[in-house]
Amino acid sequence: MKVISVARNLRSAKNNPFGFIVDSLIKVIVNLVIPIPLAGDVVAKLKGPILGFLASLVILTVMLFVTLVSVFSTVFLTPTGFFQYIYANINDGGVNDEFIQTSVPSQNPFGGSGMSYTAVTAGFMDPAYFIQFGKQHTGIDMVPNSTYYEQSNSYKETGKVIIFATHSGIASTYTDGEGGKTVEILNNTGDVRTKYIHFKNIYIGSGELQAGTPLGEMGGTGKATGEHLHYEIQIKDNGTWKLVNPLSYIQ
Amino acid sequence: MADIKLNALDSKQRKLLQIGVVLILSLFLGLYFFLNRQTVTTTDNNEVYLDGTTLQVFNDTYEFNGYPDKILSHYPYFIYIQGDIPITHVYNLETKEKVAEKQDVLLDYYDGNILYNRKTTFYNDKDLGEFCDFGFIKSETEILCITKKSQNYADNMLISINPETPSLWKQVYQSENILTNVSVIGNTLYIGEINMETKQNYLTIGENTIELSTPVSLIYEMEGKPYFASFKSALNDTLVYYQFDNDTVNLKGRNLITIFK
Repeated sequence: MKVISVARNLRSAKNNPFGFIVDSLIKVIVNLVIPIPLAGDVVAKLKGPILGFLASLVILTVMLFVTLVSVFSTVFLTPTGFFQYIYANINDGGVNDEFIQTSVPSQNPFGGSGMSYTAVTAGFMDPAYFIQFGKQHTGIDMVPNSTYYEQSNSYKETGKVIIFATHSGIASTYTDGEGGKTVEILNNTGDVRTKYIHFKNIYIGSGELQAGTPLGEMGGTGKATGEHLHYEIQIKDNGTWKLVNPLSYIQ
Repeated sequence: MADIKLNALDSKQRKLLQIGVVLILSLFLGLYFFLNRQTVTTTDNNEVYLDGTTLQVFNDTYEFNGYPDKILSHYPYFIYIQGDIPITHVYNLETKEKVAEKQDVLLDYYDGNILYNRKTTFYNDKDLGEFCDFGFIKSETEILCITKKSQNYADNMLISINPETPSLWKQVYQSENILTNVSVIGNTLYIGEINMETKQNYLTIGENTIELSTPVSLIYEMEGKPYFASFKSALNDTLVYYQFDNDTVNLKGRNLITIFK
């Protein structure tokens, strides 16, 4: 009997493949989902809607699968070659040409003119910061403002908030619990150093660099409450490093 | 089309399946109507309060964890700043509506006028020439600004700036403490202060300075009376708010701060 049934099914599949698939799907529905007698007739009449429902279900499943794969694979997509991409897009020489070459940190690490690209969320020795954390704020906390997102070439080209060296000098990079991923640049005369804290990714290694070199991507590593750049300037005064207000340097 | 064959169940098994299907359908419908009823019965909220980290502004709910977010009040305006985006939400407490949303960190908002920082502080498009750590739009001709006495030190003072003649700013107040915030309620000047060495908190009301046990995070007006609130921070482990009554400060609540009711 089984052999005859299989042969009949094969013939049916050959003569009318579409009808065979539809009938098979309906059989599955009837047998798995509908236990009520006579429902089979109803189901047979509703062949179209059932087919539509099944097709939607298949499409949804495929989309769900694609979404899940995309979401989970993002974690493994490390920015290999991203640094080169930034360089290629911003400037062949690896330096943002909006920056002038100087050993004085007179430029905004986000680029742009003066403070036009940034909002300050905590100023230098900000009293509100002291109330919140019980300690002095040693630099300024900056985030990009709407002008930055509208005008910054580096953002338009990369979709990332890139932080740039504000002066030339010798860079060193490290990570610590407080500041997270950090870059420090000592200027060529050895009397000014800048500190850039809380990077998501750092693009550079230690060594000499020029003003406008992309240092990395703004982030929230270390003890940061939200993504921002903590930017600090220290000057050497009688052999001692002294903190100064970065806003008085940015032109 | 081939005949449709039903599953080979006996009457007992079929009845069990039918009961199962009816139960699942009932459960689904019951849950659906229950959830639907909950949505429908949500009432309009007419209050502004901070409960733990939940900031409720009428029907809008935000997560407030302190810095870089900020809460400011300049009656009838309530200002909430999400610092890391950055975005400033401004609500009118009298009309209970959001009246502005700026992609910036505002220091103050009043009647469409804004105060914000760049390299220096700006009142709308006018450069005030000084950097204000805290600012208050007293009127169109007077901006109160807490600014540093010297760029590289914490010592600060309260100055008054006329946006038309910013270079002619006048000093309004200074003390041995660091000034943290300022507000004007009913023509009276309120200034929050802290001593950085002892971490003692103060509030100056007009001519009088009183000691407080918690820092002044927010000075605000509710039902015509002045209040101040202390948010959770390294210097304060509980949300708390007080009402000023002449020269005394009365505790009004802990853990939940009512800002408008």
